[in-house]
Amino acid sequence: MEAFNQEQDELIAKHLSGESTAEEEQRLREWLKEKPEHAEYLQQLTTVWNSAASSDQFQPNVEAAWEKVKQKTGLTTDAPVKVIPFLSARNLLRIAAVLVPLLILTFAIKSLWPGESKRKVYSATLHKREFLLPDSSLITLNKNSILTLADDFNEDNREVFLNGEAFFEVRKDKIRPFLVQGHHSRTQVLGTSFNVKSRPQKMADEVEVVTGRVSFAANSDDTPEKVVLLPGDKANALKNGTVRKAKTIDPNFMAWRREQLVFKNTPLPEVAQALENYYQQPITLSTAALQNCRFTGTFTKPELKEVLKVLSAATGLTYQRNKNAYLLSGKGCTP
Amino acid sequence: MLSIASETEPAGQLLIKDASQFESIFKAHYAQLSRVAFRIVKDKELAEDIVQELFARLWEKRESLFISVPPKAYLSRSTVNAALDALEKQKRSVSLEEAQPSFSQLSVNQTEEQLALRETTARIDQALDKLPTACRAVFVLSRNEEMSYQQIADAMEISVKTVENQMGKALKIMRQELLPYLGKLIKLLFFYFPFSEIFF
Repeated sequence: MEAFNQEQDELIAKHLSGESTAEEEQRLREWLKEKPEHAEYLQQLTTVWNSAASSDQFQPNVEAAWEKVKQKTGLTTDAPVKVIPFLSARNLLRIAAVLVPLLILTFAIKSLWPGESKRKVYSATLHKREFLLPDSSLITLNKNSILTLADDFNEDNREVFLNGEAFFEVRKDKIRPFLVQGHHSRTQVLGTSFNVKSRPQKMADEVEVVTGRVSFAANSDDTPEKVVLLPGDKANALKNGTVRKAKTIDPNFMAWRREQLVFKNTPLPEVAQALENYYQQPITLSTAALQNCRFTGTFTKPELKEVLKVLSAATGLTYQRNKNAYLLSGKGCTP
Repeated sequence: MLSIASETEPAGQLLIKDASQFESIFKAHYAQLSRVAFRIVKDKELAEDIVQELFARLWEKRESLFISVPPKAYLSRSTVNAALDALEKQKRSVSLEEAQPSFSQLSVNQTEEQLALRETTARIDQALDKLPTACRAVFVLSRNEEMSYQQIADAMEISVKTVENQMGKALKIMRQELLPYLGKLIKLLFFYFPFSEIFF
């Protein structure tokens, strides 16, 4: 048998794990055509790859593990929580140096100063921001988003109003359910982590669950349709009151939070959609031929221009900009 | 605590801000990190111990723990390091003979399919054990945890090029080890495993 070299092994590994680019797939195809032994070699490696599948389902008991860690660290829920004082001299100086629109700054400080305005409002404009709510839940607000707390937050319940997108890590409190009120929907949890999207110009609100259980319903005058969502589930609530459930298999769900976009042999229409969600700018494909293009690649903290350049090199597409929106055109790819 | 986004603020955020956020982070990532550790050390209990130990240590040094990468990336990286360390310790104290499965332990009451499955798994495990430590870690993280090359590179603090290299090497060595059984494996896969990969 011909001595196959490292380069071929790497190429085949990329193919099997889904990491190969369109160009690399092409090179593999051409290599296969060279000799019949090549196809046999590929089949052997494919068999090795397939055999290595693990049938081990490992679902560790997270609650039990948490109990152990609590013991190890001496943490109990009653233990005093370490608080880093906000109003220290150092932090005050930092505030003075910050280049944030004055209005937002006044708003934010006003809402946290004890004894002043009762209504708390959290907002993010140019960048995403993290906040700790009065009940110790942690939220990450995507840019251009505002979260308002109900006046009686943390009394009978914990109600908030969301305009935009936020990822919630809700502290468990069985007595006071956490309620996220969106434009078209209402999400209720006891303690869990999930992402909600609710923008007035969109026709539907969207929620995706990471941990815990979430009850999700549409805003409706009659009995609203309600669903219970588990980790990995995703649901939409439409303006007309219907609720649709789906499973999240989108690797770029919450890409905005991780600041990373991952594509593995992803069809171009999905790539465009992920970019649209990430940058919040309209990105459309103008030619149907582009639909059969696929793309593999990972971007960390990318600039949109940079991503488009790479896509252009990989799929031969061109792009035009019209104010905020991008239009992608091209001859497409061989399916 | 209000974190104000500042253009002049240095990179780096506290990983752990308080007890309840620590709990949230733990619960959000524990399962996945345990799986990553498990792929490397092959022992579920040990894997969980490693991750619990890691979190306990992080809590202890929480006041000085600033990170400039997303929490998940930091935690993945720490977990992979801890798992590889544990594996090294394990290798030094346990001889390889003990770690290999012996076929004579198979019970007589198993069906032919179950026997075939166990044999396949055993052969694969043996082949995987022949890989150098880091090489095996890269391979199992890709194959069984479905991490991307970039994620593996970040978690193991190596370059993507090195990951590509290690993957090629892993396939090559495993093919050599499994060559005598390939015919049998192909037949077994065809009948007993769902074929999720497309050949061509």
